[in-house]
Amino acid sequence: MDDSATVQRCLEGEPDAFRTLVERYQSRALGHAMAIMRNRDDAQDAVQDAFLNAHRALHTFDRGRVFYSWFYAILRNCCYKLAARRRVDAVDHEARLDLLESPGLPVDDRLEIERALAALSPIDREVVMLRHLDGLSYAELAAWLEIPVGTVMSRLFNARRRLRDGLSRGLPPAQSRER
Amino acid sequence: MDTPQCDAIVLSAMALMDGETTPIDRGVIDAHILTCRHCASEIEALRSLAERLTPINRAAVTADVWPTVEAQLDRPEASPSGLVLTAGSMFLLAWRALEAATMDPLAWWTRPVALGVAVLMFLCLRANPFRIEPRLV
Repeated sequence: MDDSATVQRCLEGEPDAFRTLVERYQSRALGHAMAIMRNRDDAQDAVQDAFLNAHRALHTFDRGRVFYSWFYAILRNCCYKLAARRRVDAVDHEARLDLLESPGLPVDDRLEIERALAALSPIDREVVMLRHLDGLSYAELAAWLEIPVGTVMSRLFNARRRLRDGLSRGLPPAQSRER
Repeated sequence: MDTPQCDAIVLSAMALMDGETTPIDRGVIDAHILTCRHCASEIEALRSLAERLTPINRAAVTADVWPTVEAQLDRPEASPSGLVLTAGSMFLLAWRALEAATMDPLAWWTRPVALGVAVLMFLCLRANPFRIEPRLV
């Protein structure tokens, strides 16, 4: 059953319908939240908040839209709110993400990329990971991040440049001031 | 980037690399790169970064948040009468504290307002005015 039909069943009061949506997307959502929060426990709290907020706002869901892109906007909002409330550092130059796997790549290379990603600002890290790891197109990025395609391009370009600088110097890239 | 044209060229070249469409024709981009070393090196750096990130995947994570979400969905939201009781109590406490703190009596109309709030709160508890409202606890 597709997401739109599942949302319709939720709105009709079927108790198991929302569970279907949660179970379908919780792992994906946790991966995305961990990319922003850099901490599994905080990310899990943000995912729970996001599903609760989504449940309350289901009646506003436009069924012409992809469910997860709508949900992702709620999720990232919950992540940033929680990060602000818990004073999660925006950038941690020593942090590791533990979010990546690369069977064909030497471990040192993967760790270097992880460190460089972890040192990016959450906004930069998010756009780079959504593009390179999730393979989102610019139009999808625009829908998920709720920004125009032109902004996607410039944000992606700047994020890549900072990541490249961090990787090439082996130093943490400059913190992005964009939010 | 050197010029505003370089900005547009590099962004367009990046879009082409990502398989996107761009308003600037590929021929224009290629011609510009031949004459602009700055743009050529920027585009080459973008290409090499993309190649470096290609073998990286998102590690699989598993989550089971449904039990927590379900427990919170079952929790009743604050009822309108609960909100009236909470707001009314706070108003009456603040009014009483202000009255006790000031030497001069408060304006005459504050008493009927406070009385009105108390009546409203009583109406919210009309079933049993002494019942503890569980949703407030």
